Amino acid sequence: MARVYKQEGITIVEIDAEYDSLDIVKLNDLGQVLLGAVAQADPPKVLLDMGRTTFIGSHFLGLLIRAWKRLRDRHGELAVCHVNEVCGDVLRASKLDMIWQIFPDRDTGVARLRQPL
Amino acid sequence: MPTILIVDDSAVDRRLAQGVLEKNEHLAFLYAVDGADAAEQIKISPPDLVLTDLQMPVMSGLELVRHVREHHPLVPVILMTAQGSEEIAVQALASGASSYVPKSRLARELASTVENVLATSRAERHHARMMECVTRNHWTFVLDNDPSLIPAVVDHVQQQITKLKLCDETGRIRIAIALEESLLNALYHGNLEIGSELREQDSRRYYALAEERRREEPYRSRTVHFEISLSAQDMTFLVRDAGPGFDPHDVPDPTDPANLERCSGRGLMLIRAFMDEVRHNERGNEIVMIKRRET
Repeated sequence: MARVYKQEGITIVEIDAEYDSLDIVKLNDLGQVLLGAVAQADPPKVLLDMGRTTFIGSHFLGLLIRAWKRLRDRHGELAVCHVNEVCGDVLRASKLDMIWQIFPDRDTGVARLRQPL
Repeated sequence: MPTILIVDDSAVDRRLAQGVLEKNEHLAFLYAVDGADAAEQIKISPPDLVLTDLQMPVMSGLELVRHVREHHPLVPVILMTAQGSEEIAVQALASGASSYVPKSRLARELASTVENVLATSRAERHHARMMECVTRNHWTFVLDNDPSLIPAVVDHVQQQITKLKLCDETGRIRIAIALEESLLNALYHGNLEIGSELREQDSRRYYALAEERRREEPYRSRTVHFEISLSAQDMTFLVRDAGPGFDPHDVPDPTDPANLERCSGRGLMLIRAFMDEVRHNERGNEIVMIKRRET
């Protein structure tokens, strides 16, 4: 469902290709992994790698909003990278690109998140 | 007169295959010396059937099968296999070859195999031509409140859109997102009457409550009515639930900076973003979404 690891101190959550729809069971599984990673992230900075995600919907956005709020409560940050055209459309249409930074690749995202807020 | 393209780097084997087949006076023959030569000829003038050797320089028979499958899906390919190449033949069949004939049995089996594959191919071509004459497709689904049905139904719509070449991949995925949102809204908010505020507060409780209500009246007997109408000009989708309905004007605008942190209203916002026209009925339990053909 998702792989969690650290790169230069930043927590990376890489979503698997199997998450390609609004399947509720898969979304709940992903939610557990993501929110677990958010809870353990130290420093509280999480980069979500969506390179293998075909499309997302409002339930997925709801999950990201929950993750982001928990990081914000800890003065942390959430960012996304490797976003395809459709997922980018969803984030822009939702205006969520105003509160989460979108990076073209993981290294750029990590470099930016390593900088102090 | 059906045309057979015989592909083999050995002139003797090409002649042998033609010799077996030319007893049928209604066949015409073309020749290629390897897969690349064949691909070039098929591009200029697709034959009715490709008969190919497996092992050839430049482009093998297996590569040719994959190429034909991708670029000329209605042209069948039969492989001629040498002893010991059964495993590659299995791969070729999995890649879309219609059949294979061992070279040791060409005299006995090639003519009948070609005849059978040509007959099947002819039927498929007629069906493909007939489908090109369809001007509008219409499906109606009556779904119970099982959310696991929704991806399957949306996948069906995506397949039909692809088959009818109504839009590109990005457009198709945008439509899929809008449809999933409308069907999930109908199921959770409409039929099961669960607000998205609960999902925002406690998603586990949200889905657990949905499971409970799926088994309880009055929710249990409610269904989602889903109509799909596809034509070359437009795609129209109607989703109706059996709940009390809602006033779309009451849904907060999730793109308003004051509401960015809220979960509610995002499904409807995505539907409006990805469809060309969106209408609700007066009761608020039905949504009609129209996507027009891009010119």
